[in-house]
Amino acid sequence: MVRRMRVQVLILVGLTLFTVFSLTPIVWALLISIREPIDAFSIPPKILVEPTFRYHVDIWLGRGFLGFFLNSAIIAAGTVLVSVPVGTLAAYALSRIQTRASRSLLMSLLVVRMFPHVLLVIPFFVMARSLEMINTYPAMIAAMVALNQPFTVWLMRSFFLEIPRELDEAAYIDGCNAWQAFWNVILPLARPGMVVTSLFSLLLAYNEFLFALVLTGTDTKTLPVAIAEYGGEDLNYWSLSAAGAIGIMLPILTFMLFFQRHLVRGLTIGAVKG
Amino acid sequence: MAFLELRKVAKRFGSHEVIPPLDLAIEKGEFVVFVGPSGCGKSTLMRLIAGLEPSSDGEIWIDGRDVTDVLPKDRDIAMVFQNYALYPDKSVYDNMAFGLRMRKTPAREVDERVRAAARVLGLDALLERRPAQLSGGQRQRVAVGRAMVREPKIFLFDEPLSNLDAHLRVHMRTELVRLHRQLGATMIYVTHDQVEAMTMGDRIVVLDHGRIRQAGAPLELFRRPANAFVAGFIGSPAMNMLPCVVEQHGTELRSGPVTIPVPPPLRAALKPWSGKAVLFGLRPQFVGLAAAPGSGTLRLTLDAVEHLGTETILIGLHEGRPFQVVVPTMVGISAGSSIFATLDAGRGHVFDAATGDLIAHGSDVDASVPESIAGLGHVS
Amino acid sequence: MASTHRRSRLDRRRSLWPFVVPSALIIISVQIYPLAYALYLSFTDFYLGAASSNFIGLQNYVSLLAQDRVWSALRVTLSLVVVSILIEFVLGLLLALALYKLVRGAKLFSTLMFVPYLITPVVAALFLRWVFASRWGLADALIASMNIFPPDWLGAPSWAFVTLVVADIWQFTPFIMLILFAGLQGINPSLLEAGRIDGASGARLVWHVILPALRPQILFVLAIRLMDAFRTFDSIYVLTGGGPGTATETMTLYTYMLAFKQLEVGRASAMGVLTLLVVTGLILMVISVVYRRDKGAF
Repeated sequence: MVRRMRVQVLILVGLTLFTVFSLTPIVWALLISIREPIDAFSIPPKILVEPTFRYHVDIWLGRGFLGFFLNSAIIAAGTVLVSVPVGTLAAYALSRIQTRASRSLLMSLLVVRMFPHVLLVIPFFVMARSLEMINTYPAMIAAMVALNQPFTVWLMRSFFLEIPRELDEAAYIDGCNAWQAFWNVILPLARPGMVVTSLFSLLLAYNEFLFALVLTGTDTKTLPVAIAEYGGEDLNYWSLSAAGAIGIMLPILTFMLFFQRHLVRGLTIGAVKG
Repeated sequence: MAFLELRKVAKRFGSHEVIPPLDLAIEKGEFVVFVGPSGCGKSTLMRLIAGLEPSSDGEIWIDGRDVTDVLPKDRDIAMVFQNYALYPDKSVYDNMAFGLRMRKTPAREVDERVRAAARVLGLDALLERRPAQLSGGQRQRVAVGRAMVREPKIFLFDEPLSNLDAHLRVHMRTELVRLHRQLGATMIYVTHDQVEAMTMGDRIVVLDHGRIRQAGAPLELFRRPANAFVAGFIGSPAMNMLPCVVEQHGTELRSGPVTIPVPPPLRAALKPWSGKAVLFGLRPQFVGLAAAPGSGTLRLTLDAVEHLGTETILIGLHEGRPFQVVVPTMVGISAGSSIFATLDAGRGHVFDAATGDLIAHGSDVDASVPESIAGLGHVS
Repeated sequence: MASTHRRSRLDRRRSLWPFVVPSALIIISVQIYPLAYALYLSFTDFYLGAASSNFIGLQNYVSLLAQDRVWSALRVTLSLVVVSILIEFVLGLLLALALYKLVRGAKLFSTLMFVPYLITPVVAALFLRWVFASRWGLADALIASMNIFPPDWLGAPSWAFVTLVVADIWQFTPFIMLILFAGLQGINPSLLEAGRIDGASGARLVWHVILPALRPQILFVLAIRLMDAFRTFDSIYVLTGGGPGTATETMTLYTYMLAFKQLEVGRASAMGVLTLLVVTGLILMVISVVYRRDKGAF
């Protein structure tokens, strides 16, 4: 009994230490963002200072971050609107066809996912430039769909696999062709899966840096590119960019709260980061 | 021409032949049961009829039309699945109406038919519920209702009762048989349970490794099995099979130390088999008990005694194989004791030990003595 | 095989394959085609801004392989990948076991620890930058307050490497932890009971019972982390930019520099292809292990 208590205490201490390690940089940035540079960097660090939100207001309203957010949102939404419906169709077929051909197709999707992005971004840039599509939404959306499609197919497929095939067959017997069975019977049941897949795809596009750095310009700049430019050495900008960074993080924390239940599945299939 | 005809229908998965070419004819209004052990191809055969699986060879005809290459939706069949396959997001009403709506049936007619079926099945009060809010038995009924409203040419049932508990299963069995009588519809029913097959079917088709081993009325299969497989599969407890050698020009069967005299009517059939190995099959109901060993009695040491209330099953060993005897309820006999079993050889069957094919039936297999009483005279 | 089947409208495959077409077209046009194009570019002297380009065969590859900078990038990449993943794996496993053993609160802890993994990578790198920045960073402030002279986290070659490893650990340990924790929860408790009855406990139980049971998850996280660590870009770009000098320049970063700073697109493509070859080699290794040990782990 005493031994068990001791083990629990030990575990608690260890987990707390790592949690502190995980959260400290975030809390530190939060502190920077709500304080004047003078207070933020006094040595030893001051903890209790009257917070100010003027940098938060300034970065979003005065420095155009609202516009960058809009760009990020348009690109992420465009990605989801193209990638998820198309991927859902393919995923349904690949969940129902189980032949050597479909298995090798799935495996090749996995291989495609492994390509180094830096190799892909070069031809994308060259092609977008010759098509005069640098600094446009479609170019960025196309790139995000490319990165996203294998993940979408795999994740949606895992949801379709949970829907018993007998439902398709019951629909066939009830008078459906393949499309009608999919549309009337299976798709409504896969709706939760589509929501989860969409949110993961949204996150992937929202977080993307390399492609955004290369393909976007003044009109289409996304949040990650903008904040990277604000990371500046100049101490006077720290509070401002910390405010921006914290703001960019907030939608993701919301996402986490909503999707805890599906997190593991999404990660096992997609390992979102890419 | 029969209502449903399979002509040389075969099914292969890759190089694996699940169903070798097979012929079968089913008449309008029949209740036909496909029965066999798991993996015998009975479900595959049903899926071929439904069109859920393309056949590799042969033709399928329904009501005078070649439907071999017709999609399931255009075959005018309905199917009840083992797990019911109800649409989980649709209400009971919508589940039943779905097939009619897909066929563009006018809304009024849909409503009438759904409500009529619901009345017959006692689902009136449940029409707004979702499948998840129903009990197993209710789901079963909705699945049947979904098939009924369509008024299809053929009903297909794929082990529909196997997910129900024993009590409900017996109840639904009679209900389905009554429904068949009421609708007069053609029904095909797949099961692995020979009791279901015996109690429900007008005709039973016994399948093994994709082959039809015998097709016929339940009692015909019980009394005149065409081979050792059917003999062993139909009937409970299973038929005893004694490996024997035919001796004395077909007048005796020898099984280990025991010699069984062959009744005169059988001798002619066994004569050519003299010196060869055969299986002598005798149902446990046709084995009696004797007080002392006699000619042709088996001495059995009881391995187990199962008291079923109405009767008692004695399970002994003969030559290392189980040998069962059914006697009217009898207390005071227990495992470990020895008994002497007398064989009513006239009710036995002789099969080729190598192929399992029938050599001859006993002369008394059709005698209309209730089986449970048949052994009475021998009890000592 | 197909010849034993006659063609039938009933064959479900025939009605379902068309569903795959849009996705296949997308993959071909935005994945396969660009890659083929990159491969083509790698055989040219394509220079951004030049009017035309010439086919020069393997020249890009030859001159790259002769560069010390390329070999140094390979060394940096491999050591970064190996060191980070090793530490992350051990830490992640310990954390997963701790969460598994914890009587209550596992959900809260795992959620909190998971935050760094989901944050936008650039933002995560900035957070760390504010920790490791010289003089005003949190790390320096804390160390200086103890009257120790702090190291130059981002400016000294070896410390820059350490900082990148810490950054990787900070972001990716949670991923390994969560997948292994999920795997642990999937282990049949009777398996652990049986192990305990057989007298195994503590480390022996972990080694002989838990790790073998976790094999699919372990191979999975290692495979994924290998692939992703190889193409890490965001955090290095933000934290060190490959510096000081080229001390922390990885293959990915050098490819980027070649293409978008030196505008040598042809040579950059060749560098990208080389990266792909190295990654493919590693992945094939992992896949062959995964498939030999556990068919269908993915």
